[in-house]
Amino acid sequence: MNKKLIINDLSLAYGDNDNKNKILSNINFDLDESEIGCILGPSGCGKTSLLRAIAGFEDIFSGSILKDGICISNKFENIPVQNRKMGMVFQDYALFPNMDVKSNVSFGLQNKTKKEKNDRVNYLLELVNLDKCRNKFPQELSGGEQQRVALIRALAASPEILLLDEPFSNIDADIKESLVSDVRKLLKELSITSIIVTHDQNEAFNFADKIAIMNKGNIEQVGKAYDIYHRPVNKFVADFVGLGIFLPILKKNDGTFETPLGALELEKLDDEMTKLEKLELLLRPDDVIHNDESKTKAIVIEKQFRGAEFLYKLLYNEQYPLLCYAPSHHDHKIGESIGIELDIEHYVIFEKS
Amino acid sequence: MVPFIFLASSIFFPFNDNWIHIIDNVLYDYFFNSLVLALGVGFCTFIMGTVTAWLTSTFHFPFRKLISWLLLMPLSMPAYIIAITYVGIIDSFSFLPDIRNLPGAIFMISLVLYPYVYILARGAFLEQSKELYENAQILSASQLQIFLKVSIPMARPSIILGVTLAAMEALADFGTVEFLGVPTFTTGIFRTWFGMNDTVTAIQMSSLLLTIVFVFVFIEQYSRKKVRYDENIKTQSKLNYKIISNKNKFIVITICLLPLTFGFIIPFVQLIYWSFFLSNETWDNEFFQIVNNSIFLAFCSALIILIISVLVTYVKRLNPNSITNKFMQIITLGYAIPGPVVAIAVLIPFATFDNFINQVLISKFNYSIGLIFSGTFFILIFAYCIRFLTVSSRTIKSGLDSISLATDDAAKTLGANTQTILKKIHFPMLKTSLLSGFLIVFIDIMKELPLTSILRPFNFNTLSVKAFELASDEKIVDASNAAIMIVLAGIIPVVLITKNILGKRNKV
Amino acid sequence: MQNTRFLKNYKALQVILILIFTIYPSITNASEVNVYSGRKAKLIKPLLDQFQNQTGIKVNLVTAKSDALIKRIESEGKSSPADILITVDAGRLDRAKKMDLLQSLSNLPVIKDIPKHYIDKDNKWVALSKRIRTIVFSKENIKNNYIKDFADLANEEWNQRICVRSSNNIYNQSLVASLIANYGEKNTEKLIKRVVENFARKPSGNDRSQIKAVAKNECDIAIVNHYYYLIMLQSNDADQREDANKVSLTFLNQESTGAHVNVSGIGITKYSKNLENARKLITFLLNKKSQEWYAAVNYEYPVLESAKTNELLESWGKVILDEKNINQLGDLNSRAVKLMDRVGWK
Repeated sequence: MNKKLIINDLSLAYGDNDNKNKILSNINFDLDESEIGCILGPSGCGKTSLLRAIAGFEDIFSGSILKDGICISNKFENIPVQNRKMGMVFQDYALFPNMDVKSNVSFGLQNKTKKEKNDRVNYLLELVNLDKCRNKFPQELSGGEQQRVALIRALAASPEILLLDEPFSNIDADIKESLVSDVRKLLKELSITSIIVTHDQNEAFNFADKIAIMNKGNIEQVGKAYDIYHRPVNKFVADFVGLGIFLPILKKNDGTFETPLGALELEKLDDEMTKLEKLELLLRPDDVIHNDESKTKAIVIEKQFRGAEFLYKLLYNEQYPLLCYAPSHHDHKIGESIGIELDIEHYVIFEKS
Repeated sequence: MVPFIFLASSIFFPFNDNWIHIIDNVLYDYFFNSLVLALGVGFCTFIMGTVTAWLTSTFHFPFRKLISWLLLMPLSMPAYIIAITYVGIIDSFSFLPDIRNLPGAIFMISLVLYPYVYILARGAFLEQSKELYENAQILSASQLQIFLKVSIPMARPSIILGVTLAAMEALADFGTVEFLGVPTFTTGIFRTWFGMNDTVTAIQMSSLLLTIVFVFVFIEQYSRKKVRYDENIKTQSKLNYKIISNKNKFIVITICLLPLTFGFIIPFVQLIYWSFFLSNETWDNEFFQIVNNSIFLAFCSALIILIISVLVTYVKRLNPNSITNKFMQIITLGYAIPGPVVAIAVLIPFATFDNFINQVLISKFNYSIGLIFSGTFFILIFAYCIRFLTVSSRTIKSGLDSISLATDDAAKTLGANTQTILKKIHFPMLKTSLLSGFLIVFIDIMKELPLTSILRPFNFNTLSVKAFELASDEKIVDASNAAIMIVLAGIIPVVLITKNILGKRNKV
Repeated sequence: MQNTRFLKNYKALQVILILIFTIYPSITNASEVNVYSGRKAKLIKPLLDQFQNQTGIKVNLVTAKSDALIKRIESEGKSSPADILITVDAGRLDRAKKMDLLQSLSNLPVIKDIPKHYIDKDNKWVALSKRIRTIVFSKENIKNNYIKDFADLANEEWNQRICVRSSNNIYNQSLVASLIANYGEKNTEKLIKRVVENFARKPSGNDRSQIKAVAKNECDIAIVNHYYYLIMLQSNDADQREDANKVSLTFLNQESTGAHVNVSGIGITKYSKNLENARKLITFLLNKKSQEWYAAVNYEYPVLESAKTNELLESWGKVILDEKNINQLGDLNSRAVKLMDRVGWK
C-alpha cells in the first residue's frame, strides 16, 4: 500500500559541523492516506522540531522525508515550505493581526478568482460555525474561535497533509474534549492526512489513529492508543502514558513468579523477559478491581472523585502503593481498608532499574 | 562601511603634538561636558518624554488628541534656532535665568529632542495589555506605582531607544553648544580641525567619541539581553482612558503643556514675530524654490534610507548571526558622529574612487567624465544614510520584533513567498513603525546642516543651510522665515504620524 | 531563499537608482564658472547674479564652511569641479595655497590696483573686503574713552568688565594670531591671560550678543567686528537700535600697529577647468561697483582704494590698519588656538 508520508531515519541537528547538537535522531514514522497521526511526548522532546522538519522549516541532517513516495527533504535538498502542499495550525495560531477573519482564511488562496475565494471561505466558515465572525479581527475572537479560524485557514487551500502543533493547548478544558472530537470528525470527513503534536495523552487518544511516543529526540514506540497503553514497550512509555505503578516480581526457585499480591500466571508471561534477574510488573488502575468480598485488603490513602468513578490510591501491606478505579457509589473514606483483586489481561513486565 | 573603516583606520595615523596639547589643556573639559550633556539630555528627555506619553495614553482629559500631536511639534525645531531665540528672549527679560551654560544647553537640546522618547514611549504604552494593568491594580498599586513599576519597565526597550537617540544627537551637536559657550567633544573636534588645521587629530577624536558611544550602547544591549520582553498579542484588550477629576485634568493638561510651551509655542511665536515685523527676507520665488528643494531632498533621502533600513533589518531577521549583522551594529552608530566628520569620511573614499575612474578613462580613452559620486546627490544621500540609518533601522526593528516568527511560518505554509509575506503581512503590520521611521528621518534631514552644506551639489540651497547661514551671520531675524518653513514642513509629517500612531486606538 | 532576497535587493536598487537619476543635476553648460564659497550665499550671491547677467557666464555656487570646502577640493583632486575658492579670512586661503590647491593670478591686470598687503606674496589669492576687529564700550559707564591699544584691555581696571565670544570663532583666533605676529608668542600669552581674567562672563553667543551685553550693563567693553555695530544701528528692530545707541565704537592701535584687520578673499583652484571665466569673475568682483557693494550691503571696507565706502564708514575717517601681517595669520592660527586653550579662553 502506498504510504502518504514516510519519515526515514531522520536526524536533525543544530550548531556547526564540528559541534553538532543532535535534537532528533533516527526517526522513523509513516502515515497512510487520510490517517491521523500523533506525536506525543513531554515538552522539550523534539516533537515540534519534527513537525517543523516535516513542514520544511528545518534543514535535516540525515535521513529523508517522502510524500507520496517522492522525497521532499534529505540532507541535500529541502523543498521550500511553500511548495509542499501542507497546512499547519500553530500553537498560538499565528493569525495575521492586520487582517479580518475572511482575509486570514483566504490568504492561502492566492491564485483563485474572487468568487472562488468567497465560496471557499463561506463554506469553511459554515463548516466551523463562524459565519458571523467573517469581518471580525483576530483580537476580537475568543480562544476557541481563533483556533477554528487557524484550522480553516490551514485547510483553505486543501493541503495534502495537515500539521497541527499543540492546537488545543490554549483551549479551556470544558470545551476541549468536544472540540477535539469535532476537529477529528471534520478531518475524517475531509479525508486529510494529519499529524498532531501534543503533550496531552487524552488529546492524543481521542484524536489520533496512530501515536508515536517521543522522548529526548527518539521515537520510543509507534502504535494504536490501545497498544501504547496496554503494551508499552519500555518503562518510559509506560510511565508517560496513563497512570500506573510498578510492583516488584519475585523469581522463585521453582520457576514460578510471584508479586506481593499473589502469583503470576505463567502462560501470560513473555519468555524473553523471564530470563532477566530483577523484574517489575506494571499495574494500571484498571488492572486492580475493587471487590468488597476480596480477602486482600488495602488502605485508602488518597482519593479523587472523577464523576462516574473514584480513583483510589491505596497502600497494600504498608509498603506497596496501588491505584484503583471504583464506581463512584463505592465511596470509601481515607484510612478505610477495602478489598481488592487483580484482573490483568496482559502482563507488562520490565527489568527493574 | 568604507567610511567607518576610514574613521577606524585613523587610529593608525601617527598621533601628533596636538594631542599632547589637547590632553594637557582641554580634554578633561570636553569629556566632562560631553558626558554631562549626554547624560543630562538623556535624563531630561526621559522625564519629559515618558511623563507626557504616559499622561496622554492613560488619562482622559479635554483636548487630549490635540495635545497628543502638538507634543511632537518641538521635534521640527532645529536646536540652535531654539537656543538663539531663547537667548534673544532672555536678553529682553533680565529676570530670567541665564541659559548660556551647560544646564542651559541640556535644557535647550532636551526641549527639541524629547519627542523621540515621547513618540516611542507612547507607542509602547498604548500596546501594553489591560490584563497586566488590571493585575497591578488588584495588587493595589497606585497609578503612580503602576507607571513606575509596570508601564516604564515594560516599555523599556522603546524608551531606551528614544533616550539613546536623543543622547547621541546631543553628543553630535555643534551649533547649540557653541552658541551657548559650552565646549564639548564636538566643538573640540571642530576647533582642532578648523582652528589648528589638523584633520587627522580631529578624526581621531571622533573615533574616540564613537568608541565611547559604542561602549555605552554595548553595555545597554548586554544588560537588556538578560530580560526578554515578549509581546503577547493574543486576546488582549486595550486600556481605556481613565476618567479623572477636574482638578486632576487641570494638572495633567498643565504638565503636558509645559514642554510644549517651552519647546514650541514660545520660540515659534518669537520666530513669527521676527518674520512679520522685522525680517528683511522676502517670500519670493527663490525662497519657495529652496522650500521645494528641501522637501524634495528630505523626502527622497528618507525614502531611500527607509528602504535600506528595511533590507538591513530583514537580513538581520532572516540570519540573526551573519557577519553583515555585526557590521550593521557599527554602522547604526553613525548618529553620534558629528556631521562634518561624516562628510569627510564619505568624501575622501568616494573622491578617491572618482579620481581613479577618471585616471583610467583618461589613460585609456583620453576622456574625463568628472565626478560621478562626490559633488552629486549620490554622496549626499549616502552620507545621510550613514547618519540617519540608526534612527530608521532601529524604529523598524522594534516594530519587526513584535511580529512573531510563527506569523512568517504560518504564511509560508499557506504558500506565501518572501515577497508576499513582506507585502501582505509585514508591511501592513509595520506601517506605523515604517511611517514613524520615515517621518523622523524626514524631519531630521529638513533640519540637518553640516552634511547638506558641505556635500551638496552646485546651486542647491536648502532651508536649513539658509537658516544657519543667516543665523551664524548674526541675522537671526532674517533666518526666521526659513526656520518657520522648516517647522511648517515638519508639521505635515507630524500630523501624519499622529493620525497613524495616535489614532490607532480609536480603530480597535 | 537566496534568489528571492537577491531579487528584493535588486528591486530596491532600481528604486534607488531611479530616485538618484531624477534628482541628478542636469549636465552643465559650456560657459560657466564653479564657485566654492565660505562666504554666506546672502553676502555673495547677488554679486554673482550680476556677473551672470552681464557676461552670460553661468555661475554655479556651493557655500559651506571654508575648511570643509578646502577639504572637498583637496579630496576631489584633479577631478574637482571648483574653479574659484572664496573664504572669509586670509588664513584659510593661505592654508589652501600651502596645500597646493590654488594657482597663480600673476598676470591678472586688475591686481595692479589692489594694495600689495591684500595680495598673497605668491599671487595665489587676492582679498575682496576688509573687516576690522575692534571694541565697543558703554557710553554710560566709560565716559572718557582712554582705551587706545588692545594691550590696555589687560589693565586691572577692566576686571569683570569685558565681553567676548568663544575662542572657537575665527575672528578671535585671527586677532590673537595678529598679536603673536606683532609681539611674539610669550608676550601675547601674558597679555591674553590677563585679558581673559578681565572677562565679565564665560564666552558665549555671537558678536551682537556682546554688544547687547554692554547695552544691558552686563559688561562695559565688548570685542566685536565693526560691521555688527553698524548693522545693529541700522536694524529694523527698535531694540537693536537702542542697544547700539548705548555703545560707542573705537578703533584700537591707531598709534601703534594699526587696528587688526581680517579679509575675505578669493583664489583660482589649481585644476580649474574654466580658467578664463574664473579670471573674468575675479576681475568683476574687484571692479569699483562690486567693491562698493560690500560696503553698501554689509558695511565692510572694500580693498580697492578708489571704491567709495558707506556714509557711516566715511564718517569714521581713515582707519590705520595692521596690514603687514595679513599674509602670516593663517600660519599662526594653530598657535593662537593653543594659546587660548592654555590661558582658558573657552
